[in-house]
Amino acid sequence: MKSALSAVTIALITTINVLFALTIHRDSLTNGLVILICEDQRLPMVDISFNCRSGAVCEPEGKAGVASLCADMLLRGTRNLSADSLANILDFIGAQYFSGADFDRSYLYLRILPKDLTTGFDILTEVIRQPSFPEDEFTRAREQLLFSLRRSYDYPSFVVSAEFDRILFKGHRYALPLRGDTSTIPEISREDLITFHKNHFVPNNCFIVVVGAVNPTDVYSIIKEKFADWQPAPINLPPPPDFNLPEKTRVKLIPRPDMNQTYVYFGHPGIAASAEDLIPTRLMSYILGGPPLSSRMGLAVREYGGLAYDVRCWFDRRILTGAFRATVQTAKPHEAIEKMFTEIRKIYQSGVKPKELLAAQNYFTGSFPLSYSSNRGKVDRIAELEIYRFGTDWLEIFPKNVRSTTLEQVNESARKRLFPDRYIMVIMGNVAQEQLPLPDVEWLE
Amino acid sequence: MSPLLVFLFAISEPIESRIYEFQLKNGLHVMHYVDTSAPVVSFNVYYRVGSYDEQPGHTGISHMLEHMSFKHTDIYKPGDFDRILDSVGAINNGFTSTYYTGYYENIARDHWEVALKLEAARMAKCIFLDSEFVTEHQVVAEERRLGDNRPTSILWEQFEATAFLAHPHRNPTIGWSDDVANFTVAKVREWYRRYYNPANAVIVVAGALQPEEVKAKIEKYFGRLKGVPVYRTDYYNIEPSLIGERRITLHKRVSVPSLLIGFPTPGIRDSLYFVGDVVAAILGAGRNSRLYKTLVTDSGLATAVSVWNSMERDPGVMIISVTPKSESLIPRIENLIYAELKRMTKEPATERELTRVKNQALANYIFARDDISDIAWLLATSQITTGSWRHFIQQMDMVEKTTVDQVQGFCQRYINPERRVVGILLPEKKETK
Repeated sequence: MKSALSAVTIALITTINVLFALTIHRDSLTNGLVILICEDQRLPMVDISFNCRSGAVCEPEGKAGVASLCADMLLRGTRNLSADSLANILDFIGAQYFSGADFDRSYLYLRILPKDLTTGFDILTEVIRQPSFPEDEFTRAREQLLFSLRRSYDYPSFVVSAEFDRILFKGHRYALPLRGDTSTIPEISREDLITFHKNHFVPNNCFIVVVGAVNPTDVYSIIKEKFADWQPAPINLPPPPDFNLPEKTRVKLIPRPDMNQTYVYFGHPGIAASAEDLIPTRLMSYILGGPPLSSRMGLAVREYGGLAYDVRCWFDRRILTGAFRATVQTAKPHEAIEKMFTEIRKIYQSGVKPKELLAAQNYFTGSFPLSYSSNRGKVDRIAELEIYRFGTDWLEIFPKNVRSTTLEQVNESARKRLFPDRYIMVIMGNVAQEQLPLPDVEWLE
Repeated sequence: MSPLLVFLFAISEPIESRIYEFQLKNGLHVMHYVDTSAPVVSFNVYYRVGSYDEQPGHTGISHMLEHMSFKHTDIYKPGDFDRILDSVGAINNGFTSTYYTGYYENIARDHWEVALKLEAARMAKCIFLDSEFVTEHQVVAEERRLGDNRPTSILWEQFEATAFLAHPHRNPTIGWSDDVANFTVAKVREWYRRYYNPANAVIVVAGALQPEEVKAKIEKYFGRLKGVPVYRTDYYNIEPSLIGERRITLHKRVSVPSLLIGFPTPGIRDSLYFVGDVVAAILGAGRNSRLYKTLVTDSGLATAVSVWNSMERDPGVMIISVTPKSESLIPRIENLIYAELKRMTKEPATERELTRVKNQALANYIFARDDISDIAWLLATSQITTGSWRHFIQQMDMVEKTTVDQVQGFCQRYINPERRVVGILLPEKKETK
């Protein structure tokens, strides 16, 4: 056993002074399992997040939904405990818990009182290492997932974003909803989950984050005892999406005469989390369509135009290149689309103003420590650092890099990352082609 | 105090020792929760006005005022609130509810005075220009339309309007569509004059500040504002007793049906009101709850079920929400629910069921303090809806002392399957030739 954990103490820095220090102990077992511990004795509670670096992008072809179902099934039975028994134990100690998957990871979250630390780690170890994927629970979980997805399609906001992904990411896993689709979920078998778990839930592909009223050395010892004999295995990562940027905007119109509002959703390929210009691009995107009351799009469409309650744009945060997305819901799509297009063209051609950049920098650096002020915030942010391999010193690097970003870098990111008039666009509502300001586009069937 | 609560208080510093409370001469009530673990502050101003206070024809006006309050004051222009707060990294918003309208700024400690200045201006110096009202009125109309296009939102709105005949709970916070369309700037001005002043407000400061500083700064920014006590009509007993069943069925463009069943539950002036949360948890919290087992695990008729008690202050409704696998199964699902509810009235809950619910409630009591903005919300809403922030601590103690006899007694008195409200959302009917 190691005598001491290595620790990185990071000072979170704002515009003018040091806010507070956050000590993160980061270490790993010889099998590759990474352990991150942040002691916080403020309250008698412990937050634990177990993360596997494989999410939906690692699913086999035609089996979209495997990662979500696999994560769901972790809590539905182990070699020694049934689903009911697991829930009985966790509910009885007042634990909060859930599991799931996004495109880049699968996860299990557990919040307990410190007195239940041993019970919590016993359960965690069992569900991660010995899930049994019982047949009856699998059938039920798959059906529940399918119903949940069908209900999502009852919402216009889900329909337009799903259709946008289907067109933009054609041929890649990103083309289908995160939790799978009505065509793929029925094709998933119990064996698919067992295979996914066997191939991806290996120690060299996983990490644990623990935050709260714990002794880091004790927690390290518990984790070592539970996971040291877990055998590593090689991992293959999926290829990135292969984009074909259209020569001109392509529009899919979904008529819905029953709606009193039109949902507009458009965008194009975005940026990978590892890109060198990630921070300038995020600053630019914030200025363009971040806060609905003060971004350029927000001011033009909502504050001065009165055209929508919510208007925004953003770049996906994903390991592989995601999308740039913009959306608005409005009774006047003609005017809203024109204003959003105009704002994108303006920032692409003329860049941002120094005072806009300064305001965005102040917001990024000022709000950064707020997200670390709660245990839950710490767990989630530390997991993000690990997933995107930013490193624990990102907490120190990020504010500095934001502060040192120049106007030229932000304007360069606008020219590099925005593609005006080459959008994939989905419009859904009670509106006809001729009512829209889209004279030179390709209309999709 | 109960043993478990004593234990939790023993391992965590009692919350009371961290809360400082004072009132300014103008009637402004202030609570300060001290948490110095991170140099951040959650600054909250709540007004005692919401959909509860709105008359027919003017539903949603509190929410419209909330929107307009971000616009113009004597010294701030439209956009200034967000521009100023964004520039110091603060996260801010406003929201309207049944009993209150709230505003908050989560902000670095060094900048918290910025929030004070802005909120003091919002409390007393708002200016409502006709031209700005026209634009924001359109924004609110668009917000209203968002709900019109969400099928389950429509079901929920119609369900509440069915469950309550007279009580303001029947009105949506955002307002009915026709009322929203007819808002006037004159009504917004009137609503602001009537409800926004120190005597009708509650401030909660949570975070890394010393009590002396909080008191001095609040006095500095809010002490000179004029307080005018506001009389709030009490609708506590206005709702007539539910007789028999009220049922609505909506057909919308959905692929999955929804079922809501509601039973009237008592408000906070009833000595058993807190048992409603316990009963809801026994019925629907987690996969070992009674209705999950009955409807999802054993019969397989539904894919999801949840139960909650909507009571905040006045008598409310306990709601059972179910996702049936198909429309044809709904009668069987209803029968199983009513049978389970009858069983609750005839047989006591088990001690293990009750202990599970108590343990969950008490753990959540600790977990709620993780985020200073959550604890601020808890203090403010408890103060406004019950008259004292201490109420939520007392409620924890009462939950911990709940007996199986109380659970059975509550069910016998309130959960009567013969007196129910049922809301069903179904796919559109197909045209037949």
